[in-house]
Amino acid sequence: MSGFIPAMRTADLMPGMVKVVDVQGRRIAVCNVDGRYFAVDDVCTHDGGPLGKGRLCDGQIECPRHGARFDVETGRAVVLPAVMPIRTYALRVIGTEVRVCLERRAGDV
Amino acid sequence: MTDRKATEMMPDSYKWGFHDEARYVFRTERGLSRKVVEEIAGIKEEPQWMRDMRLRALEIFERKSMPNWGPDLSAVNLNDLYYYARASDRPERDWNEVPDYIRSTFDRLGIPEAERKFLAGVGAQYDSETVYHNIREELAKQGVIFADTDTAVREYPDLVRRYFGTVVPPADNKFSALNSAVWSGGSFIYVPEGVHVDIPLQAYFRINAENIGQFERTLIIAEPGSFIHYIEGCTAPIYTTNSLHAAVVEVIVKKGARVRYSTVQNWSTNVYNLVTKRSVAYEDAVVEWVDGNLGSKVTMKYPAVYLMEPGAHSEVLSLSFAGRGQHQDTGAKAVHVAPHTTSVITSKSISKDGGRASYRGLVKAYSGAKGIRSSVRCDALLLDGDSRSDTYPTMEIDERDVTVSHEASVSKVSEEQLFYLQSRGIDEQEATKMIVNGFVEPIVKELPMEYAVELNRLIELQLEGAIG
Amino acid sequence: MLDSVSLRKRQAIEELSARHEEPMWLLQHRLKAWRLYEDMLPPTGREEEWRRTDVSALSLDGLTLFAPATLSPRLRGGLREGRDGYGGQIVQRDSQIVFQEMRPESAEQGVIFTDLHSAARQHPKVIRRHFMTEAVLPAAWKYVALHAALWSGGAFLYVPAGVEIGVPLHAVVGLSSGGVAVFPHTLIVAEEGSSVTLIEEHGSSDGDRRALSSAVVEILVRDGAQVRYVGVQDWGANVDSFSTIRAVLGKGSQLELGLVGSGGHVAKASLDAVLSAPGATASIVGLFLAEGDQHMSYSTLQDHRAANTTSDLLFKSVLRDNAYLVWNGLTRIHKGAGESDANQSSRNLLLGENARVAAIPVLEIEAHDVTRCSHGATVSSVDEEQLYYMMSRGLTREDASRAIVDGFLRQGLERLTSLQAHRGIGRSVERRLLAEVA
Repeated sequence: MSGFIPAMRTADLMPGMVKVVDVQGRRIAVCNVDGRYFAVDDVCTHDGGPLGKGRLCDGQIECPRHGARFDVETGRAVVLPAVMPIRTYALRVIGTEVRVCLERRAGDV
Repeated sequence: MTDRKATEMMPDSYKWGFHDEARYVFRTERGLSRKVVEEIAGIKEEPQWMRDMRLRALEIFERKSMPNWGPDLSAVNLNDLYYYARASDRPERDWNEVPDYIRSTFDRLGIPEAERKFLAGVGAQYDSETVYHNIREELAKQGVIFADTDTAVREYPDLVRRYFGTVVPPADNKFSALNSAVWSGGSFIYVPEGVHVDIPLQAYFRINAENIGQFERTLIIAEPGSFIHYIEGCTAPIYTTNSLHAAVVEVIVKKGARVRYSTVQNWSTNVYNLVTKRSVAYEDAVVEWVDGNLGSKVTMKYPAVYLMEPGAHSEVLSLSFAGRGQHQDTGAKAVHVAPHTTSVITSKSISKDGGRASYRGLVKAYSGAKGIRSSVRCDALLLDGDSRSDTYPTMEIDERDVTVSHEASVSKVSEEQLFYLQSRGIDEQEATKMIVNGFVEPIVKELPMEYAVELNRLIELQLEGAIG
Repeated sequence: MLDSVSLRKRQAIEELSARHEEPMWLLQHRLKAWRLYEDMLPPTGREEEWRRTDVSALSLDGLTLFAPATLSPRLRGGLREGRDGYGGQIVQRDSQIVFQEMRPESAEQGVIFTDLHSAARQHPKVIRRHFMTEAVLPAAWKYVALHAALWSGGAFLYVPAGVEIGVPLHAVVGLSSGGVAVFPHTLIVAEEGSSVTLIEEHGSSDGDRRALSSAVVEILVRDGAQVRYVGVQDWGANVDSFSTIRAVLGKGSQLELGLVGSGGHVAKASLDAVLSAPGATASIVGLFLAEGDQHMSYSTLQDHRAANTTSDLLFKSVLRDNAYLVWNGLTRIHKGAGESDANQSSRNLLLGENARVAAIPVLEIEAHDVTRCSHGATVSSVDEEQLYYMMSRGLTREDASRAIVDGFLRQGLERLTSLQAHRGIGRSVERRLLAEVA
């Protein structure tokens, strides 16, 4: 499976938590929503805030800087002041390894 | 006691005797803490999700810093305030204790006896309850909900929960965090699809026994094709010892709907009035903010509209008057997210007796917002040599296919105009009043007539210097 | 902190000073500035003035701070240093003056137009009094301190009281291919009632290695004097440029200033006009053309400190491709600066699909009896209606577009051309700008 780079181990991230990993120079925030993993850019589209330092709630990640929220599956901005979606990344869990593909978005075939 | 003397004595609120514990049925302890926030949630019998949100907001408030721009807020001592107070009836105050400048304003504005006592916090009885009750019946027939926000949280929890904090989240700024932690009162309005509410709804109608709007939280939801005009505040000066007001207003305007939100603010000049007002406008929606700022020591308020879908339109009319010791830092924001959206911002300010009026605004066009048009016009009038006016507009345009313009001017009263009027036998003071009236007319005329009339009279009073 | 790097740098400064036979006070000035530079903090990027600019463009990594004996660079594009029509010329390549001359008539009138090193040796009193003492001080910001320590070459223009020079003077700074940091300095002192025009060009061809310029222009316009200054920057795409321009105007004096900016990777400039005495007038015109991934950032200040002063600023920009222009304009009218007239206009034409602009015109008014104090900013792309109109008259879309851009720049160009008697430069600028927008 080309392009899917190991980012972390599943055990590194508990449900409801977020962790930032560096994948080939890009900062990716990996989220665990009730056992399902999602990967998004660590940077909030509103003002560049650190999403990875925010909290996860109901499948949404909240930026600590101004409270903007994004759906981690689609990347859509759901709470102002963010309006632009964040980039999502295709993610596969292979065994105990979480792998992220930088070229493809979540939901791409 | 002359009016002038009263004015000079104003800043010291203790003189008016509002520091008696016994007059309150209940008041949380001084300062802000988890305990205070939990008490508030408890008194209101709020559901768990609201209580949790308040506590989270408190944490956010504690870690957020004060703005490093804008007016001087150093005199605001956050630890010294009471964040919630409740009386079964309004605290009894002696009419003689009410500052002269407020009493005389009521006289000049022709405010009825009962109303003025109510507004001044004297006596408990004002028949707003009856008026309110009748209006609610009318609205209920149309399916419109108009309640105070506390009631709405209890009676319409799903509706409130869906929208509360989605337009202004707690972490947006320090004062939205504060409001989210200790909010009380405010209006909740829900207008069903296609419903047009013909009479303007007024906050006045639902003033209840709670504290007088210190940390109001207002939420308005207009379903597709609906229309509502909401008015808050009034021209008569509201006297209060609560020196910090941090309100949050969230307005959601769906496809083809229209909301007009008018505010006339005339808080007494000991108040720091820090408000976050924001709306989202969807396809073909129209949002209008009419914002009149006359009172308070410091106001920081920038009504904003996020134009999310094509065809959305926003208009902001902002009028500020900064007299002695006042700093009105007001403006507007228009954020063009979608293509083919339009915004118009008109701001007029007057500074007198060393007052300072500042316009602060933002027009932003995201990449992809093709074909948007935005026009901003700010005019400031300086009436004397001590006063001050500033403008701080920002335009951030990330899209090529736009038409964006901004024009601002600061001037004194035109000598030519004065000369012309004086040559017709009008004395200088009268002439100045006429010119100022003409200056503010485009905004004042957008208010319902009773307000417009009172507002004009109030501005005249300010110009005469008969009040502070 | 005298670590070995610092020690080496100080030694190099001493060598530089010695090479130019500078007086002791000037060496001290440099060393003091170097210490300031070391102590001052660089912009973090969170400051209002820097938040839209990539501060990594300030990097000095890999750059020679003391330009060695130069190669022979060419200036890019259509701006040539022809000798005809100028009253005097100074040509600098990297850090070295390679040519200078002045018409004898001007010298006879007491006009001084020479490089700064010569001026420091020949006119020490005048230099000592005016060089970085009034307009731009070494502590202005970190890169001005750096400049004050390392400047080389430079142009000094001094016009004695009552002397009027009708023919413009010309100064050129050309950068070689890359790997260097240069610090061009221009000091103009126009004594009472004098009148002079200086046209300055800074430029380079596209180089393959990064280069940096931290320039300072000081303009002292004494009572009743009149100065016209045109600064043209036309950098290669490898150059990051940071300029600090500041003019101080005396009673009844007049400044007409033109800026033309194109090229470069990051071009940031601050421009201050300080109207410090009654009756002073400043008129500023800026024309900017940004393309590719260029970033331009201009901070301007119209500082009215006295009554009856006038200022007018007109900035026009054309942005192609992914260019990004930022303009922070401040007009300040101090208390007591009554009956003043100040205007700012920023007009921006976005041609590029991803072009962007941020315009922040600020007014701070503390005097109430202002005659007029206004500003306006517009941002738009080429007007579709205008395009169709022209196309309906037989022009191709390209030609129509060019005509519209031409019309857009025309007003600014006319004001620029009127600033000097040398028609050539107006035409060159026009050709350059319009050729690029075709």
